[in-house]
Amino acid sequence: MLVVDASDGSHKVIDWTTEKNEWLKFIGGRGFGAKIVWEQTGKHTDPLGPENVLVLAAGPLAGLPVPGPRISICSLSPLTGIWGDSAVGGYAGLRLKQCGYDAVIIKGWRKDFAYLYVSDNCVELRDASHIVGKGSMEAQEELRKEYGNEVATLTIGPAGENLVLFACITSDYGRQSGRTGTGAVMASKGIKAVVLDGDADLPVADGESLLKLIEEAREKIIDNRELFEQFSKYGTMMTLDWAQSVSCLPTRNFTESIFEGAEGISASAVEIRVMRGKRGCFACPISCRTISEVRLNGEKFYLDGPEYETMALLGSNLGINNVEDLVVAHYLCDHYGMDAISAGVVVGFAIECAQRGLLTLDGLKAEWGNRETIFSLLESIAYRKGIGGILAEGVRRAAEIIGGGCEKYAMHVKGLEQSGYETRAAPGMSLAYGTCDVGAHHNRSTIIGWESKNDRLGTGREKVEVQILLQHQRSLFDALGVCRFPWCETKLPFEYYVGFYSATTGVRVDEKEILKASERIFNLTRMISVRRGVSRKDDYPPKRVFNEPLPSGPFKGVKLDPESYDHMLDMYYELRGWSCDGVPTSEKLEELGILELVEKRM
Amino acid sequence: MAWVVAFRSKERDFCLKTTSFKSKPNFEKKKSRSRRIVPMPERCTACMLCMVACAIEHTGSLNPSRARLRVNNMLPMAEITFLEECDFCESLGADVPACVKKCPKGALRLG
Ligand code: SF4
Ligand code: SF4
Repeated sequence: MLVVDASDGSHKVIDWTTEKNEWLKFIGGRGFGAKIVWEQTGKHTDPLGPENVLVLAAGPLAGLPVPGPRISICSLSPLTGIWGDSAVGGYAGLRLKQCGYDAVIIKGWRKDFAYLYVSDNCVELRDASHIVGKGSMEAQEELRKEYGNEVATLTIGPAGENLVLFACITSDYGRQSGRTGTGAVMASKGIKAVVLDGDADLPVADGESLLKLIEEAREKIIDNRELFEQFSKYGTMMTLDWAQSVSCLPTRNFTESIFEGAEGISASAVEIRVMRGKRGCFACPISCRTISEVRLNGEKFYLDGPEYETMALLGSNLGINNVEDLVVAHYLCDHYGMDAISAGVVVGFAIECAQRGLLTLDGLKAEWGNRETIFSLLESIAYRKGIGGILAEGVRRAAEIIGGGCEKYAMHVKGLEQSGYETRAAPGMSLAYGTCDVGAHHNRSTIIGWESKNDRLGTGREKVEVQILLQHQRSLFDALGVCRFPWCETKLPFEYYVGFYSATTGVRVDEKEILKASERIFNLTRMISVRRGVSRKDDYPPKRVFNEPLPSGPFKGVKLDPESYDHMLDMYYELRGWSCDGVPTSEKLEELGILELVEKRM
Repeated sequence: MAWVVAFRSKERDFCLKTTSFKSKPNFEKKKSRSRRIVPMPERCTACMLCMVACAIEHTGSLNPSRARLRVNNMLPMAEITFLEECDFCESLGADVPACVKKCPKGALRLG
């Protein structure tokens, strides 16, 4: 593990294996991130101050030819004030591991921007004046000119530099560590980019078994022909048609759940009109990513995207009904380096508030789908110009600043803007957003799929149990440091991942134990947030879900019943072993083996 | 060897610091070979499975940086280059080179 002080570039290497058993409990990736953030930050740490840490952590499987390495980027989030993490795919996980580190921890801060160069024999802060002010992909281009195309880079764009609270970190032409404002944290430390220039071997406990498992798994993925081909062709873009068909597609700032213009931004529209190629992450045969051509001001650009979340939040949620405009909006977010999900929600919020007369948009028309309004707002946010300065704070704070009761229209949980599912007719998904550790994000659970198939409007115990299981299963992938799609989209059995882990580390575990570890991480990230004031009051979906019935579609008239939600939340806490205020009990922490760790730093 | 992938153990420092795997591509030499591989970058998804296959076949390592070809994710098309050491698996007597066999997208063709 590498610890770098941003103020002077001094660094030290920590060998975590001297406390191997303590660390192994947390697997790696976001698990390591959680332990580090728990130990290094406190109740009063300013997320944008020098005491906050930015942890880039690759799990044990990242960098091995298991499909899709992931780096989890963890810290206290400036957007929400609590635990925040986001994972980035592509090749960065491979290169970080090839530099010889499981994690890089950046502390401190500096005034002028520098970039961090890491290779297997060098760690150095270097002058970044030539890339300051550049878009995140332009900065990557520049760095690749210097270091060759084999390095992986993590860069921030103007939004990060201007401390937009939902700025992201970009890798490989638009793989984003999107959520929770990790880009702003990196900027606050004065780091414009990280160059990962490693090519070393990764030792494995039992290489032969691992290889055998990997080959078998790859065949399984490919043999599942229909799913494999469909997901390879469209990736998560397929979800758009599905979301529309089950009425949960966020439309016009989540006022509706069906979008009349969905066809224009669907996967087939993308395929016919803008798709120029496909990409996969390292060692993944699936290739779920799409390369699109973007036309902007008469110039041609390329975008790694779109995917479902951007189609929903920048498309239907803003009333955009054609792929050409959609890819421009997506490209702008990537270029400025800000989370497209949060940006879509913030812009939707601004348009709705302006239509209701609560806000003026610096002379822009408050119209859904208006390209000029949307593109200009994105730019103003990135540079904090005019109204953009307020919107750059995220919807929660923007609503506080604007006032006039507009918090009713602010779609967020714990300060994190809601991602791509409208949930008035989906109590389980409402609970998923309510209880996700970082805020309204689908990463931990997309129970909406299960709900739509089994019991859409129910609020029973089974649903809550499935919810908890999903929260442990899905977030495990970020701890292991690999993509979850081969499991959840092409149905590679979960056992394979347990097998990969055992073969890689030489630590024999079974499914139960590894899920326990995931639960341990979930409880620790909860404690990080509890330490900073989170409790039951923060575990509710946005107000709109309770107040306004759905205006159209098969669930017309449905809204979430507050009492049933409370009932589900009680069940959720009980099943988790948390108090009725949502705090993990000492018994639970003891059972998970982290009571001592927690008590030491409470 | 310790399993831990990314802390700096002495072994690693010694076994790997001597070479860099980033050699330059060399197209001249290839002309003398009896077969060649035609890359079709428009089909390539930059998954590097070909590199992994090559590294396993020729060096017994899972490290793609030990492969004899390079794939870089570029836009709009990936870039595929073969290094000087690549003999299209002739030395192994294989009918089909490892990379060609393992490419899931048919982006490498034996020509
Ligand atoms: S499924 Fe998609 S995101 Fe996941 S590793 Fe493969 S290409 Fe990357
Ligand atoms: S295996 Fe095929 S698709 Fe993957 S990087 Fe190599 S040539 Fe490209």
